Amino acid sequence: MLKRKRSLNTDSLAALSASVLAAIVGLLLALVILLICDAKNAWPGFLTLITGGIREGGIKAIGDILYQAMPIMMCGAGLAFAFKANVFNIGGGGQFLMGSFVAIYTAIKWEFLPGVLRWIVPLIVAALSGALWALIPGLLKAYRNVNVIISTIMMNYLARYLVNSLIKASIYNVTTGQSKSIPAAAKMPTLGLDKLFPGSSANIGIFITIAVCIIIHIILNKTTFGYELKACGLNAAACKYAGIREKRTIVVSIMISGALVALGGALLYLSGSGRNIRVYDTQPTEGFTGISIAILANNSPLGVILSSLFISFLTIGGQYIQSYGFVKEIVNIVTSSVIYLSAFTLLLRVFFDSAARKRQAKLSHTESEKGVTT
Amino acid sequence: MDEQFAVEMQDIVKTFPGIVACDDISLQIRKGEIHALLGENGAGKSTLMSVLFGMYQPESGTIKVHGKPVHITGPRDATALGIGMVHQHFKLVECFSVVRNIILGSESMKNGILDLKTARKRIMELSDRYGLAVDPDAIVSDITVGMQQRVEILKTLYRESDILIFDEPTAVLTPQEIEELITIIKGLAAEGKSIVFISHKLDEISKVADRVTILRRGKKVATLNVAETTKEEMSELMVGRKVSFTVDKGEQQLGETVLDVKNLVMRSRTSQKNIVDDISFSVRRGEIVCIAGIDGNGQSETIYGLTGIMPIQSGTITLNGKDITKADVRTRNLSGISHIPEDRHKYGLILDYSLKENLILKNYFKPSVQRYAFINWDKAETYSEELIEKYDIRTTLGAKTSARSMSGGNQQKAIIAREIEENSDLLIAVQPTRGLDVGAIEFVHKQLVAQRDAGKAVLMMSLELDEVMDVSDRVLVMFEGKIVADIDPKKTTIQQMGLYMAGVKKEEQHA
Repeated sequence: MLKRKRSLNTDSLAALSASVLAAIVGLLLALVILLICDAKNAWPGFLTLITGGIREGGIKAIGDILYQAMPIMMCGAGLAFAFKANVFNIGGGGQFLMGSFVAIYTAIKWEFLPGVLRWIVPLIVAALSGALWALIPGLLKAYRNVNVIISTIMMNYLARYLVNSLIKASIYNVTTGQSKSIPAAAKMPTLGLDKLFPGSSANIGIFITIAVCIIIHIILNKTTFGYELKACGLNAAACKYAGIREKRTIVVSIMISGALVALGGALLYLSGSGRNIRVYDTQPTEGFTGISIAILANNSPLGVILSSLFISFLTIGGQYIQSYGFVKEIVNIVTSSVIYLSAFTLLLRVFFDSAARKRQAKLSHTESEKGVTT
Repeated sequence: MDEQFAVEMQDIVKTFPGIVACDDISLQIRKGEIHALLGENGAGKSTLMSVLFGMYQPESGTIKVHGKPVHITGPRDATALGIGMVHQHFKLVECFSVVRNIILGSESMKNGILDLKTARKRIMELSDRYGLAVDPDAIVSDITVGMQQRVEILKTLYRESDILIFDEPTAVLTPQEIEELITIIKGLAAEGKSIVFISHKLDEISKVADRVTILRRGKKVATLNVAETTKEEMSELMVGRKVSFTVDKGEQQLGETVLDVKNLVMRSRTSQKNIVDDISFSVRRGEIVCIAGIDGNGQSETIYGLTGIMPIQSGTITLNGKDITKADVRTRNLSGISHIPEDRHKYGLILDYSLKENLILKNYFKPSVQRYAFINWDKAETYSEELIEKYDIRTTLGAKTSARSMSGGNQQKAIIAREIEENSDLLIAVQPTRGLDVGAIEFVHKQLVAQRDAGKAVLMMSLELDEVMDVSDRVLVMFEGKIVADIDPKKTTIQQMGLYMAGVKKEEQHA
């Protein structure tokens, strides 16, 4: 065990330092933006941002951070899973929407379900819908070699307009222009989190999500399926040679990915916090935030827990900056510049990786020089 | 100063943490000579040349180029001093034309626009002058490996290098291409270029080099005039002990047929031509059958067809009496095929996986390391340690070493260990000694013969004629997709084999 940890260190240390550095650079940029907008209030605003609004919001802010983290954490875990298999699933938006719609629909319509099944079944059905939605680009990739990035983006548009018309046909609230609210019976239990963090919408979902991240971590690192999946991501030809069914692995990986992202949508709307799906033309942002989260976490499911909490922390902190007179749009620019700078993680990783590789190459070089006799 | 050398490296010391890679090495390259640098993998040849090419900075020692002391801090400096390097793994942009590849990095401009015309003219002149016969407008991915290497040579010539370093240039070439390369190198030397030829192949060194410097474990052992030495002497100096060039084989014990191929036809995806054209053969227990031929006559495809990596057009493949024509790769492996693949980076290994993860690539799903779909990593580790010990795989971090960081010879040992441990009835070994040094080649050959003596069927494919003649019990020569000869290597000569390979001679009837 001790030995294994050491080997983990060289790799994940480079990854971790890249992620942390990207976050710091992003925060500095945020400070610059605040300074440009309103130099006088920039510093207190920045402090609020980096304290996640806990200074102002207190205990409620913590609950809100957990609640906000839940759907994007689930999306991040799902997307990271596909990225590990080298399947670049950009269809998070569409899968999220499908999951959201199916969850709300079943929560409202399937009144025959008893007790806890009122929310458990919608979660499961939503996950299935996401898997099915992702199956299409998966099959296209495996058997027709269609670029996943393109097919999943197109699936996003299909999902948006399909869900719009399905809502209008079934669960439309004409007065709000949104989907109907879920009944109280279908709301997920809060497990006392509402008492712990009064005023927030934190609920059981955050535990489900963290559990899923841990399960995904175990699948990727301990099981034969995870071994196959990562192998396909790293070298598909070698997988073929070894008799791993690489096409099936691609399809299964994107289906699981879609299922998790959809589950993220379901968790958000089954929280019963008063949020409903709006019928309009843009994609839900969670699908894209999930990409940043996965990249910031270097596609590690456990890293996703941290990076999603970090992003959620900034989002909540950003909301409280408004009290210093920064308009909502500036707040959005600030938080999203931190999020988008996380994409720099990739760039920084290349740097840290090559440094690490150089070190290892030197080591192995010396070793091979050492052992010459054969 | 009595003699001015093209390059003079004096007392070069280069250390890496914990080890001295170049231990006080001095090397003098005369103008216009071909100087071979001989040594096993990891003897310090590449490190020494990397120092000369500016990729490493030595701890101590001086370098003089044309008598002037120089300080080389990077490949750019080296290029400016007229030092050019032809790398073992080509550094070419596959989808660019030859001209564009050659000028890449030193493009000439005319009014801010790329001046291809002048460049093309100069390249043609150089190509004619040195007999390189390169088509300047061909796309790199369309030309043969031998031609790609000439493009690399042209790259150095275009930059007016007069000291050329060839890093194991023959590792990727066919016997014919090697002959042509030797002619080219001799031509370059005759034109006054000084040449460093890194190799561990003694035959080539005897053929091409004027002098040879032998390195062992980071130290210079000797510099000899090639004309005054023998292969035996060189190999002994290189390895530090006597090496047997002949393969010891026991008495052959032929058993029943393991692999039976009938009327195999394979077609390329792009053309209607049959790459493998109706071939039939069989391999029995206790024999090493070798498929020989000039590269590109359908040998590789035959192997891919047998192992299930490429689809076949028609024919049947029977393994131990079981029809596996339609079986998938996994089923074939489990039915008794082990496969040491031709391209160890593409097929043989997952480079970013650790050695341990690579060693279980064929059995991660078997009860020995798997339970309830979980991999028992502790068992995998123990298993890996056993193989590392048994097959003498050299690593830095044991089972945790990343495959990418291992040397070619050790990567190959890992693959051989994995495949032999599968204990399959049929072992397919494709170019098993490609790019390996004498000691490692001896090891691989011993392993193959041990399999044969243990009553396994071994199917080998090789482009090295010496290997074909020494190791195999039976040789199938392929030419343009057909088997043109089925011969006993003991009853034939290399010259005759060459005729079959070139398609000049054909056997009327073969089994």
